[in-house]
Amino acid sequence: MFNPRIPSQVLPKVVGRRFQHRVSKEVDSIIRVDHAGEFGADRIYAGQIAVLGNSVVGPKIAEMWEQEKVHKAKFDELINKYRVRPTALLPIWNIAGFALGAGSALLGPKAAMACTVAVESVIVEHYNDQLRTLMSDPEKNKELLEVIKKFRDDEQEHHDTGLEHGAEEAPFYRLFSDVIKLGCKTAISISKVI
Amino acid sequence: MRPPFFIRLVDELIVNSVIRVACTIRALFFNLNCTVIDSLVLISKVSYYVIFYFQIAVEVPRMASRICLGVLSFSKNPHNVNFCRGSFVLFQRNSSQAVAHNDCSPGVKDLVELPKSESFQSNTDEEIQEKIFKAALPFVNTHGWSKSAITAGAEAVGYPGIVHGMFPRGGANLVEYFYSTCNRELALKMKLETEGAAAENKKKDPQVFVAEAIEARLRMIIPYLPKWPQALAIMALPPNAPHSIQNLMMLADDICYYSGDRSVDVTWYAKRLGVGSIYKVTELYFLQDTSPDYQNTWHFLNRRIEDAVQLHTVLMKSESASTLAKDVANVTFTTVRNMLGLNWNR
Repeated sequence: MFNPRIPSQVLPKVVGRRFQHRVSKEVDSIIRVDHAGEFGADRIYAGQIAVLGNSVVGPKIAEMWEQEKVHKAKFDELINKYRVRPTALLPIWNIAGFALGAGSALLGPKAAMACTVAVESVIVEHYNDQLRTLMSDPEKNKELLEVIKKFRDDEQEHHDTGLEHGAEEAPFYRLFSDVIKLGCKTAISISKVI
Repeated sequence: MRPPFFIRLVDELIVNSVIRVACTIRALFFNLNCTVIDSLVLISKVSYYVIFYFQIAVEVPRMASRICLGVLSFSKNPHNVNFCRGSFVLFQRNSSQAVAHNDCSPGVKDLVELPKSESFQSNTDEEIQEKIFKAALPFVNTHGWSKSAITAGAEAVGYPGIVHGMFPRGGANLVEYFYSTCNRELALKMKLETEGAAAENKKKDPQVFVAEAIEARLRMIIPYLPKWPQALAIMALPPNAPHSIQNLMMLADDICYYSGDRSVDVTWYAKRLGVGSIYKVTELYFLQDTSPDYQNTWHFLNRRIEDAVQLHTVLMKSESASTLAKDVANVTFTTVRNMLGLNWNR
């Protein structure tokens, strides 16, 4: 006979539904895509440092990289806390991020900054979208809201730093940043699901 | 008694060949010169990823088609479902509370444990479904995982037999209910256990933890073991496969999480697939096991886990190879950089 030793009141009530004792589907996808994003950003800066580490802009990039490392560590923690599945494409983002960082840096420091500006502008926009979604239940998503708000401000700062360092003077700036933006948006929409 | 042919086949072909390959690779690794090893490991690692993603590329469309099939077969008769739900609601409105539990046989009444004050007041669909499923489980051994078991269960708690219309997939719904309830029970148990272990500050070896968790989970099937092959068959049907894979993966996820796995990369998938497949293979072995207290199954389970751990160590050893690869890449990069003159300000 099936006679649960644990009283049924303790068990969650819902039957046969996905994520019975996990977070909601929206939060699940938000944490997964943000973790992938910070991971990718970390790799982009790693690629830029590999090329421009000893140039004039080196210390500035290293400074931003340090912040991204903190962001990544935070999402590593959150992904475990909320028990979210990490995206399956991490190895691909790993290579793609590094290639993007190193590739743009090879075109010169200004192109590297243009890459930073393009990526960060997409990320800021993306974080703002998420904040709007999460504001539907500010009490429940308090921790996540605070983290994303803080990170959004950091990314905005990186964006401005990039502009200060002459991102717009990079060759083919408009085309270059449009291509990168498109790539980032595609990566975001893939990571939300897979 | 010899186990049936197909189980020997599973044991021999799938499981043992994987182990043999792994052992051969390991022997190769230990005997070869270090540099050669590293390059070999690198190749094997790359091919591992290639195979992994290839599998995903093959599996995803297959899963998608299964899901489509499931959706199709469900949407074929929405009218039926709505009709039954409608009549069921009507029934609820007309019937007085007197129907509640007076009709149940005493044995069933004890088992169901419905608090009397709450019954018929919390009338959401899901709670009613849970009540009926719970009552239907004792009838599984006589009626199988079928609509008739649900009917019998519904009648035992005072609903008309026709409510089986609430469950468009019949027996499959019952199997899924049982499966996910067991999963939740196991998850709760593991949670309490890990919390207790954390309080006493002694952590169990993950290997032992996984073995015990799978054993505890399989023991929950024992009351229904004679009818369990039928449940397995129902779960394997195309419309039900997505749900059952999901349930299995939830189980594997719970076991991995509570055993202390905190990985955030591709190994997350590898570990869950590993635990899931060990559970499934052991479950197959379990079906035909006639030894006292199923000792053979638990030995089989421990052997499979040892194999997985061996495989894991081999993969971990390849980590050293990836650092070497990184160094090589770095050196190449620096050389190219110097040749291009990008280092002028050093």
